[in-house]
Amino acid sequence: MSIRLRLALCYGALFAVILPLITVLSYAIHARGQYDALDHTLVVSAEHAVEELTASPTGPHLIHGEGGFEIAFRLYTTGGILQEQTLGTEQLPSIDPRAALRSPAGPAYDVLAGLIPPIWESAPATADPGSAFGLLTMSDQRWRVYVLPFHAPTSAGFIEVLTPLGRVDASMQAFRITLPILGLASLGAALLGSWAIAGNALRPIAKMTGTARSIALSRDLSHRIEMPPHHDELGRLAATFNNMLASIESAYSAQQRFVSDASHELRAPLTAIQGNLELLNRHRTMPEAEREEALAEITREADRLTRLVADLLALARADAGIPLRPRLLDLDAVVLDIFKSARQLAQGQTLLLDPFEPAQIRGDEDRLKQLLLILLDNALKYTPPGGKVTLGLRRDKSCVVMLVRDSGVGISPEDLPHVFERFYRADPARSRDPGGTGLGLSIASWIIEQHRGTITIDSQPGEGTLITVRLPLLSDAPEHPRDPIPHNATPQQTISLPSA
Amino acid sequence: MMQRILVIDDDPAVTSVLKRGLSYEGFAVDTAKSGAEGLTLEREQSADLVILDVMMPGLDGSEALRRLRGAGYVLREEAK
Repeated sequence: MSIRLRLALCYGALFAVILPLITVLSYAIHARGQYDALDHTLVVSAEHAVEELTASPTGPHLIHGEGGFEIAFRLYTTGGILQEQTLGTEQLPSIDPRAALRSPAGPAYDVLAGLIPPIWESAPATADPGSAFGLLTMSDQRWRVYVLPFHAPTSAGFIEVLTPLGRVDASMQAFRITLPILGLASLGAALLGSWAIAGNALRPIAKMTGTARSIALSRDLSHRIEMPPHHDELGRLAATFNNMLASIESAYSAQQRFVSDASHELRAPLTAIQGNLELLNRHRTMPEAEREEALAEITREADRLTRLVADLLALARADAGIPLRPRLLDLDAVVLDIFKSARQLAQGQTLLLDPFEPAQIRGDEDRLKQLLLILLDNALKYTPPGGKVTLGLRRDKSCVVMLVRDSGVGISPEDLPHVFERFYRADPARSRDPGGTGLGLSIASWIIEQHRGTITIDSQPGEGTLITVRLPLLSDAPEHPRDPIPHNATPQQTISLPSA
Repeated sequence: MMQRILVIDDDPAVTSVLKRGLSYEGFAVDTAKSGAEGLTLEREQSADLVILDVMMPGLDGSEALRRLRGAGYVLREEAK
């Protein structure tokens, strides 16, 4: 069952409970009021008449015309013999007042009106204990009768007061017919109205469903939901949905770009390998020196492919959120270890270790080694023979600082903001070694991020580059960091542009 | 007369093998490491065929292609 139908039915059910309650209650109050008022009038009129009768010096008889149009008076002897009656009521049949006293009639109203407590000081309650009400049908309508015995000094008897109920009965009858009809009509209107209101309120949701479906079908993440005009719950839902789409779109396009970049990067060494193999195949009589060159190129490009695949795997693991294995370690031992291996990589550059202070941190030894190797390898790659590369480690108040300074070509201000992007490489003309994968700094920045550290790059083209990595000293590095590596610059890194 | 081929690719391994292979086939081969360098070379000495990489830093292949078309070259095949 749809939400719309459920809402409409709920409203309808609510109305179906409330409406009859209101209807019955209003009918009962009205009916009770009408009939009780008549009874009250009868009692008051009878008592008034008795007072007049007993006060009369000439003996008991009715003052004619007193009752008016709606009320008739009759005077009986104690024996039940009609003595006098209001003019104009002679055609009404006479009743024995003693019969009414013997078997008094109940209220003139029906069961429904009897449900509620009396509105007026109810007539029967205040009436004389010896008196009684009666109900009879004469001339096609009901009559209400009140019989009150009296004992005057000169005589005794009964006074009987009558009033026709036709008008009140007719009005109550009309009430009984119209109220259910009105109730049913309002129930129908309520159902229709709530159906319309629910449909109106749910229309944006139907729209969102449509958009979501079309996105699912077309795989076009650039679609957005049309925002509803009001900033209500649905507006917020639409905004949230759109934000989610935007972030999926950006992650998806980053992933697409990464795959496209990766295949391009893989294709270049493959092209070189294939080309050289084809060359060797086609020209069997090629001079020895050229054959050597082709073979060396094949080896070099195969190595590059290996490195590239290893880096891609590292990034894939990072993206998958594979946690580090942090433990307490002596960072100075790690730095010294890497410094020794880096000396093998140097080609005519001077490698220095300065400053060098003992420092303990919690971290993943293999990852930190990888980080230092990436930074040193970069520094050596962009520093010509004769240049100087300095590795440093010192303790600060709350962190350890690792420095890699080189006197190389530097990074141009245009390239600096992009160096952490995957596959981003500065102008190839500036690099001596084209064998890099373009992924080193992306991996470095992920490792630093996982250690809750920061990286700063200061560079002056032509003069050199200083990379500063700060790691929290004995920090409580996360045991299971889950954040995957971002595709572009990470928030922790700062890039200082050279001053002019 | 020797036909000239201009190879534009940011990867030296690719330009190197293409240059040697195509030279064996009897073409005169020029190589350029970037789109900008390639366009300069082309202006100096027009080539019969340009082999152009699309994804290059700086002036990329698509932009270089647009400018080469202005110089009268016709696109035969495009690949990344």
